[in-house]
Amino acid sequence: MNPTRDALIVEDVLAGDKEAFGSLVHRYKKPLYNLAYRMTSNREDALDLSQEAFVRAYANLHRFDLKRSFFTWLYTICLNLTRNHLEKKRETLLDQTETLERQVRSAFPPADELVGKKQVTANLEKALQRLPLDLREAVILRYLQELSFEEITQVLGISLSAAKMRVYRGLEKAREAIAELGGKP
Amino acid sequence: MSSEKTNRDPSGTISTLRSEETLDRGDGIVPAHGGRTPDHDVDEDPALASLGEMFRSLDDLEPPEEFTSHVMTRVREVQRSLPVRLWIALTRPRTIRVNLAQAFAGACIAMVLLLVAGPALQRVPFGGVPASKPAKEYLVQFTYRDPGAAAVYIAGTFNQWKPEEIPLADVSGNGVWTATVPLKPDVYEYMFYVDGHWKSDDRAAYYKDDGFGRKNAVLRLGNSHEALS
Repeated sequence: MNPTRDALIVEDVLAGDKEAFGSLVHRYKKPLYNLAYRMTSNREDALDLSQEAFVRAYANLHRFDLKRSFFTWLYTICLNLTRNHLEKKRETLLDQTETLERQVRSAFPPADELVGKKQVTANLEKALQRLPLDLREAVILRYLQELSFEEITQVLGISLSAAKMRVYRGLEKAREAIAELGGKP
Repeated sequence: MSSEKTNRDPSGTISTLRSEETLDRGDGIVPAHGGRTPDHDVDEDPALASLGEMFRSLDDLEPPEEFTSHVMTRVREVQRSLPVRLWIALTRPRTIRVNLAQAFAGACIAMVLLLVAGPALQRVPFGGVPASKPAKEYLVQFTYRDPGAAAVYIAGTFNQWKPEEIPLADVSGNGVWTATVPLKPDVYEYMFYVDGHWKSDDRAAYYKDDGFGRKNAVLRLGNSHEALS
C-alpha cells in the first residue's frame, strides 16, 4: 500500500487530531465550492452545499476506504447533496427561473447585445444549467474540474463507457442549447 | 428502459444510479440495438472538443476567506458515538510519534533503569539478553532556494505530510531556506510546502508520482532495501 498524503491525514484525524482535517478543507475547498456553484449556479447554495459536504465527510470519515482517493469520495458526497438539493428545489426553481428571466429581460439588454467573452461565458453558463443533472455533472467534472475519466467513474459510480457517454451527450446537448440561445456552439 | 437502484452514500444522502452502460443514453432514449453503446469519444468530434475547451476556460470562483474556519467550527462540534469510536480504535492503524524532548526524557529514564537494574539483570541466568544497538539517526538538512518565498515548510512521510509543521528558515536572507531534521534509517517521500503550494525538490536523486501530477522526492537513509520506482 502506498498511501497518499490525504489518507495519512485521514488517519491522523481518526486518531483524534480533528484540526488535521483543516488541511483537507484548505486543499479541496476551492474545487468543491466551484463544483457546487456550477451545479447550482447560486453562490449561497454552493457555499452551503460544499461546507456541508466537508462536515458530512468528517462525520463519516470512519467509513472512508483508505485505498480510495479522498477527493473522489468527497466529490461524491458533494454531488449527492447537490442532487438532493436541486431535486427538492426543482419546482420552486422552475417558477423562480421564469420570473427571473422576465425580470432580467426587462432590466438588462438581450444576450446578443453583449459582446465578446462575456457573451460566450453567459451562453456557456446558461447551456450548462439547461443540461439534465447527470450530464451536467459529467461535463463539469470533465472540463471544469478537469478530472480524468477514471476519476469520473469513481465519483459517479458508473462505468468508463457510461462516463464517456455522459460527457459526449452533455456536450451535444450544450451545443444545441447554445444554438437555441443564438450563440456559436 | 433503465434499471435503477438506490445508492446510499456514506454521507447519508440517497442518489440514484442507472445501469446505463448497456442501455440508457442519458436522455431516456434506449438505443435501437439495445446492447452496448458505442464508444463516445469527444476527441473524434472537433466541434465538441472545442466546446469542451470553452467550458474548461470558464473562470473559477474563490471561496470566501472564512470557508475553512466555518467548516472547522462545525467539525469541532461533531461528536462521534461510542460504537463509532470503538470501531475506529479497533480498525484504524495508529502511529506513535515521539518528539526530541520526549525521546531525550525516555533515554534518560532508560539509562537510569539500566544503571539501577542492570547488575541485577546480569545475575539472571537467562536474562542476559544484550541490549540492541540504539537505532542510528541521521541529521538531514533540507534546502530550498526561492528568494521570493514568504514561508517554506518541509513535509513528508516522516511527519505524516503535515504541511506546516516543520518550517525552513532563511537565516541569511538570501533566499536559501534550510531545516535540519533528525531521521532514522528508512525510505521517505517529501515535498516542500511553499506559500501554500506543494513544490517538488528538483535536486532529489529519486522521485515517486504523488497521484496529483507532481513528483514526491524520495530520500533513502541507511540500509533500507525498500524498492524505489
